[in-house]
Parts: sequence; C-alpha cells; structure tokens
Amino acid sequence: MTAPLEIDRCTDCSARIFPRRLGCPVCGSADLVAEAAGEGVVAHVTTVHRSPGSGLIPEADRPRLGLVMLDSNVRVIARCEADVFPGTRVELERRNDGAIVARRKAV
Amino acid sequence: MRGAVLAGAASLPPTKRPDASVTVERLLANAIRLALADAGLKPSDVNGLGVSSFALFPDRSIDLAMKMGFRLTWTMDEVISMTMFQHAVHAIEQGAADVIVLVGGDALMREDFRRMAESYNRTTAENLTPLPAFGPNAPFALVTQAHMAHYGLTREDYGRVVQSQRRWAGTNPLALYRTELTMSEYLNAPMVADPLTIFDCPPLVAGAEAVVMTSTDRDKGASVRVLSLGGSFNHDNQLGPGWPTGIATFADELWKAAGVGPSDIDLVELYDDYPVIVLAQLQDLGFIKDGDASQLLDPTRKGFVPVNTGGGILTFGQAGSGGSIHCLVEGVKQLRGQRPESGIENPEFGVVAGYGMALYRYAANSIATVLQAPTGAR
Repeated sequence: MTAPLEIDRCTDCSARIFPRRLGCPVCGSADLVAEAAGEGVVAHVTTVHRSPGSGLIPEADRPRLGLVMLDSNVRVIARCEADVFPGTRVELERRNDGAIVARRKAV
Repeated sequence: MRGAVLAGAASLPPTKRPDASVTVERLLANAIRLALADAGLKPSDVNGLGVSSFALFPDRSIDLAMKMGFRLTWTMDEVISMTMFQHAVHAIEQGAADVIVLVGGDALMREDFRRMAESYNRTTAENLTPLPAFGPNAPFALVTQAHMAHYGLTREDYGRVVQSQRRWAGTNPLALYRTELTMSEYLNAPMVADPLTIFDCPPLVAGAEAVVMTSTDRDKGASVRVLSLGGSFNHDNQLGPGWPTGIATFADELWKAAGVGPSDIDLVELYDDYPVIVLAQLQDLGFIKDGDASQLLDPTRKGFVPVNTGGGILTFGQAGSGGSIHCLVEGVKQLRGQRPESGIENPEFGVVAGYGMALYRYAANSIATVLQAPTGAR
C-alpha cells in the first residue's frame, strides 16, 4: 500500500520543507500544513552494495537510492524503481513500511 | 584573560575485530591514563571530564568519573568531541575547571553499529532506514555525486585524498591501513555505494583517544596554544547540496582572530568520514578552490600542505564516536613534536576541524580551531 509522499508548506512564506520540521526554517513561522510532494527529477542515483551490519548485500536486494529534486526545489532521498535513472521525471510515494519510492511519471 | 591550552594527547591502537573482553569503559580509561601521562599530570589533577561514546550507554561521563575516581567541577557528554572542545575552552577561560580530559572511544560490533546507524535520529529512522539506506554511506555517496557534477571532478580527485592519507599513514605505526594505494587499486576497490568504495569509508574499529586541556597558568611551555575557535551547527538547515560545511560561516573570523592565514599553516587535520568532506572543509578554510586539491595534496608541487598527517580515520579506522577526536589528537602530537616519523619539521601552526551529526542527507556540526606549537620553557 502506498500514498503520495507528503511534505510541509509554510502558510506564511510558502516555502516547501522536507523532512518534517517543527517550524519553517526559512521564515520561522510555526504554521506548516502538509501537502503532496508533487513531481520532480532524479538528480543522482547510487546502488548500495554493502551494509555495515551484514557486509555484501545479495545483488537482487541492493537498493538503488536516488536524490530527487522536486519542482519546489526540495531534495528527497527515495528508493528508485527499476525504470528510474538520473534525469527521469518522477512522483514520490510513501509505502506503508515508511519507504519513500520514486516512480516514473507517466507521460 | 586566562586561556586554554592542550597539554597532552594519546591514541590507543585500533582493533579491527575486538573480542568480548574489550569493554568500552576500559578503552576510555586507558586512553585517559595515557593522555594524562603524556601531559605529566595525575588522575587527581583532573577536575573536568568530557566523553564521546555510543557504546558507553547507559553510562555517561559522570559514571566514568566515579569509576576513575575523578572529583569534578565540570562534566559533559557529546557525540562529537570537537563540540566538547569548544565548550571546554570556554569552561577553562571562565574558571569552571583547569584540567579537563576529553575522551572519545567506542567498541561497537557490526550489529551494534547497524542498530546505531538505523536509529541515529528520528529523521533517519523515519525517512532513510525504511528505504533501506543501510547507514550514512548512501547519503554521502549522493553528496559526492552532486559535488563531482558541480565542480566537474572525477573519481581520481577523491582518490587522491585517500592516496595522500595512505602515504601519511605509512608514518603512523598505529594506523590500520599503512600501505600505499595505487590509483588503479582505488578505482577498482569493492563498491559500498557508488562512487564510494571500501577505501572511501572509514573501517569500523574499537579504540579510544583522548586529549588533556589545562589553563594557561598551569602551562610550563610544553602545551599547544589555542589561537582561535569557531563553531557552526545546522548552518543551512539541510536545504543545501551537502557543502559548504558550517566552517564557511566562520572561517574569515577564525583566521582573523588567530592572526595567521592558510599560507602560514604547517599542518591541517580534518575529520574525514568521506573524501568529499575533506575537500569541502579544505575549501571552506580557504586552502583550495572549486574542489580541486590535486596541487595541495601533491608533495612534489609548490603549494603542498600536509593534510591529515596521521592518515586520518580513513586509514586509522573509526572507533565510533571516538573518530571525532582523532584529528585533534594528531594535531596536538604533531605540534608537540611527537610525530617525527612523519617528516614534518618543527611545525608551528596547525588547523584542526571536526564535522559530524548526520541529520538527513549530510551532517550539521562543524568546529575548527587554529593551534600553535608550545612556546618552550620560559
């Protein structure tokens, strides 16, 4: 199960903010509201080959993690689906297990 | 005004695969005793203690004080030892204590480290661990890729940082990786999170390191002087690409207060969790431009400056939170003339910088200090 990733919007200065804060880091307002993260573009992707706990990760289990630059200029680290690469336009979802997933935006 | 000086320093040899008989409190105690002996002081002289350690939990510095028999007027617990250094300098200036030991050390098994990394803070637990990110390597791999693209650097540029530190490690009998590294070995090393290989990430070790600080009025001319100090915490609210570090916010004042500049510096000791952070700090301190350290790190070229002269934690190993005091220990040893094997003759000025506390995509704490060699007996 997934839902669109939510980020915060400052109701005073309109700054978009992620991850979650207790106030707006730009103007100091305490009034933040959640809204859908919207779309963005993958800037970079890394594949994790080793974990500090268990060493080498089996090839099929290696997560591909991307730095996504949202249209609102917010940066999010997301797990990339197989057809997502640097330059791919994506939308972000939050799975029930908490993982943020970047899914190729249908054209 | 009364000032703070660094009177002694010590590192324990790192252990790659510690057995169960290695306890973190014993490591911390051993490093403290060695550093006090180096400073010519007794345990009964100590009245301030600061501790950086994940594995000591649930104990804290006050528990260690009881077990060591210290009666204190100042105590502190902090993950980043260089942050404690900032507080300790002020504590000594204000007279809250006049002999402070700062110690950092850990004995984390791989499984302990995994748990610690997964729940490092709420932001990490909520947004990175479920991916799964497997700790900080992947976020810093993404910072490295962004840095590489922004400045037009190649993997060789980061490899030169590792190669340079390997050369220095060859002069440090305590370092874990002491052999020289060819560029081909670096480029073909096993991948951790591309472009980061096993040589771009500090090996996890058990160990401890400590420094002893005193007031200037206890100094008999054998202590390292603290010329200036700056700190920055969460300077960009995690809204940037991962560089510059917080050092950029205070570097001008740091040099102005010290009365010296980068061209006067004989050695640079920087926290080196990843090569990209070494390059970022070098740039923030004014040693390089556009991320390019190829000239600075090349001993055959004009403009060469010794950087991470003991090999840094990339070669020494990172004893958990103890890695945060490593750069200060090496700086103090160098400036007190205790590292002649390194071939740096009579260094007079050094700059030491710490970095740490990964909040989400990168870390937020930066401390830097300009130090001067002891003035000699007066």
